[in-house]
Amino acid sequence: MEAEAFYARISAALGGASAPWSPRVDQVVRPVARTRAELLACCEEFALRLAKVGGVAERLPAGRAAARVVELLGDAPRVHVGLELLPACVRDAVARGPATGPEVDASRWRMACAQAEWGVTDAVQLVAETGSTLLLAGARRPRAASLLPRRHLVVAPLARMVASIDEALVHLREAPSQWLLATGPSRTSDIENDLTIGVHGPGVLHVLVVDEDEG
Amino acid sequence: MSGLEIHDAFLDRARQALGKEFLKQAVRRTTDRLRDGRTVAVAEAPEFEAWRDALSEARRRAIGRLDAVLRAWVERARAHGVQVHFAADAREACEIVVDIARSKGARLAAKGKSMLSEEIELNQALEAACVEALETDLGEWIIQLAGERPSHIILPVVHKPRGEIRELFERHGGEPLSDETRVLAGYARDRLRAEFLRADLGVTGCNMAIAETGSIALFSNEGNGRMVSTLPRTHVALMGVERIVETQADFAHLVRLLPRSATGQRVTTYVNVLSGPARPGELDGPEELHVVVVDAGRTAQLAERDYREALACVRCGACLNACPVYSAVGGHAYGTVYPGPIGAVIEPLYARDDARRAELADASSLCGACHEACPVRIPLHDMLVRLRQDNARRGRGGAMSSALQRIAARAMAVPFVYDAAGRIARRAARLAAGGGELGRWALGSTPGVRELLRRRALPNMPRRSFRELWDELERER
Repeated sequence: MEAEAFYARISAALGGASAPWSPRVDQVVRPVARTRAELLACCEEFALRLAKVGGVAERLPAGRAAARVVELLGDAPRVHVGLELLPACVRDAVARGPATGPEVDASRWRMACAQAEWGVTDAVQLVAETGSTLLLAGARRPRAASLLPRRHLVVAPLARMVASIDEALVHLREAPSQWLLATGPSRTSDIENDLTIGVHGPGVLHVLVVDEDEG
Repeated sequence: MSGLEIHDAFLDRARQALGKEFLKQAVRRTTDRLRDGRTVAVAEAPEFEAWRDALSEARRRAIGRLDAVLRAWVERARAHGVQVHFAADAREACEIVVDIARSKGARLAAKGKSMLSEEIELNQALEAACVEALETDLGEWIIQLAGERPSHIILPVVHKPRGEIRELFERHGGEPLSDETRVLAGYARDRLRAEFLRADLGVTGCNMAIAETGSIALFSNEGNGRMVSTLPRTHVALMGVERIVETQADFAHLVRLLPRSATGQRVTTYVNVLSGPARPGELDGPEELHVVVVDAGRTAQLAERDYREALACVRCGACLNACPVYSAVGGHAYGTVYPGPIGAVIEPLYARDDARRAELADASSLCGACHEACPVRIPLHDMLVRLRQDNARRGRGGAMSSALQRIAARAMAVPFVYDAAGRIARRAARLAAGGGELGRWALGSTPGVRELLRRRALPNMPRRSFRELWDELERER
């Protein structure tokens, strides 16, 4: 069916055509600046919320983050987003070992993701209200890194913490090709209401919140 | 088809359902769990009612100027490179998807969970065009292997015991499995993973479109929706024309309320928002994103002021879980794609001439629990009453029953007649109850009453009416 005919059908059902609609500019909300104490409170709530849905979050001083990454990833094969998107302190640790980044071509990327044990990504926001990580897609942030590997590691600085979903969405006015709120590991209760973790998406979601202001 | 046969269709299925012990318990257990989850989620969010107000308003606002809002969404989506198609009905929607599949030479379409796809029977259309349609939501895959229909909007397979699921999987894979959930889900994961990577076409629904950004949103817990919208070269999303909000701020309310209302989760595991196909330089994501905007009875519903609000529905299933009728008989008894109170309202509207569906208005106790649970406050119980009125007006309950209802309506308007009729009815009912076989026979052979008694149990009648008791109280004072 033609677009105009389709719109006309709706207009007729409404009893006449509506005035053209466009979003009001004054609806734009500004991001809130937070004190360190507020960020820490958000981080605590974030970890609590994420734990409730089977995810893990830990806050680490920048000096200890790399060691923790090595400990978690071991020498398992991993894929990662552009290293420049991760906190500087963990880049070497992520790139060490059998690692594949977005520099390869599409078919090698997909194969690497399907075989990887870990996918390492950043998050543009961490949402305290729900324990959610907000991930974007882009040339340096391919989507499969958080989708195909068995485990997903998010590394993001404490400053990315926000209190609520509304606040997180404020940052998304210029729509990327995809944005994703990922909250905990993949789950299903389809079989007799019995919750099981790790169906199609990663079965582990681990978030390292890097606290750059703590030695 | 006469009114009586119509009722028998629902009644027979309901009786069959009540005879299946596992089904009865499973449906009850599921609806209890989901309802309890919602109750907890509501209790821990003091802002819950304010969110409901906000989402209710946002949905009605968008639907109230749907032509303009849809146009704005289409402009923005096209600017992102989305190919938007419009389908007047189910047949057209299927043709569009089949054409896309053909033009891509697709052999395998991997599907995310979509009730709209069930509604338009897309799988059958794809199979007819020699394209394999594979459901990848765990519950939907089980349903597909069993050749059945979903029995719940969000938990399609609540009616199936794990033993049967294991047998289905064993027949599918030809290897023995155990009954453990982990093993069964693991089998599905391993088997479907290869299919995700092999599929040419990914098909999903669309929980909501956002006009401001020209996006579509998919809510899921398993991650299969992400797979089918990321890995195949072409992604086709089916969108009911009414599934749209104006702004991202409106959408934030849906993010909070849809999961809480559906399962009690604060948020689903994945809220996946897509604005166009992969952009230049991106390593993955679909090369093409098609959105098929489907009417299939929705604008007709929009024109019906009495039922327009039902278009605000966000398909959370909370009304199913709250409904005493659904909780007792489950989804299959309804014989429709959408079961429960929302199904009883929208099914006859989507298919205006289908009298069989119209009769589902009777599959309700009119207790209003559905309205209480609805995140967008759709007055489903009022609509069910109106549907019953429509049915009576069209004589769908049978001629005698309609005549009886007309007489009752007259009598109720005149206090003297109402009192007298009430006295007679009470005496008759008590006689019937006390009079054993003879009394039951007498009532059961009264035209009009007979039809009523096939579907309703006779209430225990008090000796005196409320009005008589009240008069007595007044005298004593």
